[in-house]
Amino acid sequence: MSLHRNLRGPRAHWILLLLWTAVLFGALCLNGYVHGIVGGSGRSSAAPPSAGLPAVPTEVSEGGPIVRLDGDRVQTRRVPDHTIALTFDDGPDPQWTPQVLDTLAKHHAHATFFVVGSRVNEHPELVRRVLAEGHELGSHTFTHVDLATAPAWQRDLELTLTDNAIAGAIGRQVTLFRPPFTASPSALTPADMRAMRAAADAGRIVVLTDLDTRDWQRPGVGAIVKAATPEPPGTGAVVLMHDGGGDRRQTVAALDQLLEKLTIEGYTFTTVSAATGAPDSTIPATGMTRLRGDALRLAQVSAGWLAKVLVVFFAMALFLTLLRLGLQLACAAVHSSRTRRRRRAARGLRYLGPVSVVVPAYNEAANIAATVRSLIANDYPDLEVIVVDDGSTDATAEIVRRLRLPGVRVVRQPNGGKPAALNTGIEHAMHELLVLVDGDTVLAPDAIGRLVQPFTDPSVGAVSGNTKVANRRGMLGRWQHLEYVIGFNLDRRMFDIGECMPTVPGAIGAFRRVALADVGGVPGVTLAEDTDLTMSVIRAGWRVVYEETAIAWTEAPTSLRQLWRQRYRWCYGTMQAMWKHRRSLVQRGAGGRLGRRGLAYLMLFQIALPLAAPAVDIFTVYGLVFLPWLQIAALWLALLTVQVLSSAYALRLDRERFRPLWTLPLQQIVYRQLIYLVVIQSLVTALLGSRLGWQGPTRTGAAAALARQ
Amino acid sequence: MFVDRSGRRRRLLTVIGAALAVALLTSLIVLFAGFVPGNRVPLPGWPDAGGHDQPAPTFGPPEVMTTPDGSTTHPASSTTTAPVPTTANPGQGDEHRRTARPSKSPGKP
Repeated sequence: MSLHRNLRGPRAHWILLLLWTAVLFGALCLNGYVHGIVGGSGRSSAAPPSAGLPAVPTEVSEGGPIVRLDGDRVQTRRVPDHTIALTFDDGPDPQWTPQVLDTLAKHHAHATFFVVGSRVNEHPELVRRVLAEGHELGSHTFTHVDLATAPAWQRDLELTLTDNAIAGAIGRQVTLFRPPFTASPSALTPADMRAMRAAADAGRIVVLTDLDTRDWQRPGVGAIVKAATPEPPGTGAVVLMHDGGGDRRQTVAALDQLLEKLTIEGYTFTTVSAATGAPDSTIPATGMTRLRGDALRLAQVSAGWLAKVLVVFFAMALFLTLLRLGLQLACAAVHSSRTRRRRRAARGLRYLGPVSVVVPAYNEAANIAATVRSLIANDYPDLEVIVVDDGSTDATAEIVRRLRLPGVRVVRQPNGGKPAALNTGIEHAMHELLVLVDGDTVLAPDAIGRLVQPFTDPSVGAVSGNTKVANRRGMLGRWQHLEYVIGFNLDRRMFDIGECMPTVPGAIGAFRRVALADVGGVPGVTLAEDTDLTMSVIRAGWRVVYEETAIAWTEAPTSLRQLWRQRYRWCYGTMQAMWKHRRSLVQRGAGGRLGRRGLAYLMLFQIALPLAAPAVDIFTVYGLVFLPWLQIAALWLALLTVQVLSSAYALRLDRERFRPLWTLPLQQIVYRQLIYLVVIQSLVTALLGSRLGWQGPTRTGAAAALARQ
Repeated sequence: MFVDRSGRRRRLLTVIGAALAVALLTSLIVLFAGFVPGNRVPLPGWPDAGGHDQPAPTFGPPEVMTTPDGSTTHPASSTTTAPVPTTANPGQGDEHRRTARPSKSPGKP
């Protein structure tokens, strides 16, 4: 039973990832909703649709500005003569609300503040001050949304959120409510009326206005004072001004003048409830409501921070991606012009002595014949081929024997893993130059000849060939094909230029026997023996180069499950090899170049960036919903264009057709996620120290045998 | 490589993972708590003769405004306590509050 569990590797972290995704997305949505906030401006649409809605009752449209719709019949109130109920909307604002409060205090006047819930969460201390100085508070929705056009769920949500926010800030619930974008009762639309009824159902008294100063348009101090002065003199009024949502310098100045002037005329300035003789409009909030309010404020503030951090994250990811692309393209250009020059100087291929080809094969009955035939068909003059049958349970060895090809030997060993099989093959090989080829790989007729050419330079210890996907059918095949072409034509040329090649692929690579002997054969302690071997060879002081003309075709996984297993093994193995060779980071010379360039590159672009990728994806979805849609789409298109262009360049370098490029946009959806989820899975496996099913016992016997030679 | 033979690292990380899960669940609860509506609260009554438009309105009985489950609000007491002035609103004229009367029909079905 335990074997089955180990085969799958750890799983509990997916729950964590799911929770983290939910928290992140929820927080971003909250932040996006909060910042959809407007205010201090007119309605966006000319008039909300009113078709099919009952008309505004005359009791309301001709009644006072303070409206109760909760009882059997409509009740409205007016402010008595010589009384003004000043009302301030859209606050609290850290700059203007204190100035308004100071001005009111200077004239011993009181007013009513209709606050926006999300701003209450930002500045709860201002709301507490408003209350402490004897003013009245009312709700003005959570995000200053036009309730006349908002759907029913949003109307309820806006009221609930504001209730909770205010309860969290002051410990009381408010019952006064002013719907945004409304002014006097006579200007109400049927849709406004619907919104007011909804508010009344939730237990609100709606406060409209008599005199709208339209101070948010900044018409000048004089104009605001004039608009706020009741006609004929002595009439009572509810006056609408704003202490939030923009520059309120004129409002503050006008307020000072208005209070000065009308106090002399015998007016008193008081709250809405006091002016109408109603009792205190606020009610003590229950403990639960206050708790919900505190939670909401905490959530909103944290979400704001989280969004800021994510923007930085997103920008960093973007910057790194572009940096990597630029580096790859520059290196590829330098590399291709350098190789062209060298090839022209070399004039054809040179014979570099006999070559041994080692093919480790475990249950490769399906491919082995084609592999061996392609090797024998190579045009290199002196070749021997050693197929190591690693205890296959199928007819792999038989198939090769029955081919009866000259120069092909089969060595059988009990199953010991690929590194052991390679070491057995190397032991049986007779020549100084060794080409290691996977059992499922088919080589181009000139591949071996080209692959060994870099050995004319005695400092070169290993050469990487160019692997291509043979089965390019289907979406998965095309995606992998593109990935291989980019990986081999951009990444590997860059590693070649930087002298920090982390991997000579197991599919096609060539080694000097002395280089292999220097590192004690193919190491068997990691799952990525090719990466481990290459790093060891570099650290032993050999140069490792890339020969892009040595082409091998390999069979890529055809199902997501197979692909997942392959990448899991690669990624985990690469992490093992990186950890094993971590000291190269502080080494001098060639090893240091590998460490500080190659390992740093892998660390940054194959581990760190994929780990940040889920957050980037969530942010992208959030951006599409809440940020200016056109900008996000433009950014995405620009990135995609850069990606397509660089991929096209890689394809051109490899003389491949451009057709599969159309699958690139779709790569963002399934493939990308699979690649980064594999990194997460590998990292968790490494951290937990799980023993994986295919890891098995460490097999060091063959490596030791080679070292004895 | 990486294999945790003693099992100590796995245990430690399992504990950390569990703690992280609890933290994330708490964050989710905090995130959604603010969206939960509270119980309907009864509106404070208006004084019958306080206004200008309607000299003597008969405003709705408190049952209309109580919570559906009635668990936290008591209609009978709210009608009597609602008009009582509090000190939290100094701008209010005292003469108005003294004239404020409770509903004429408390507990009307």
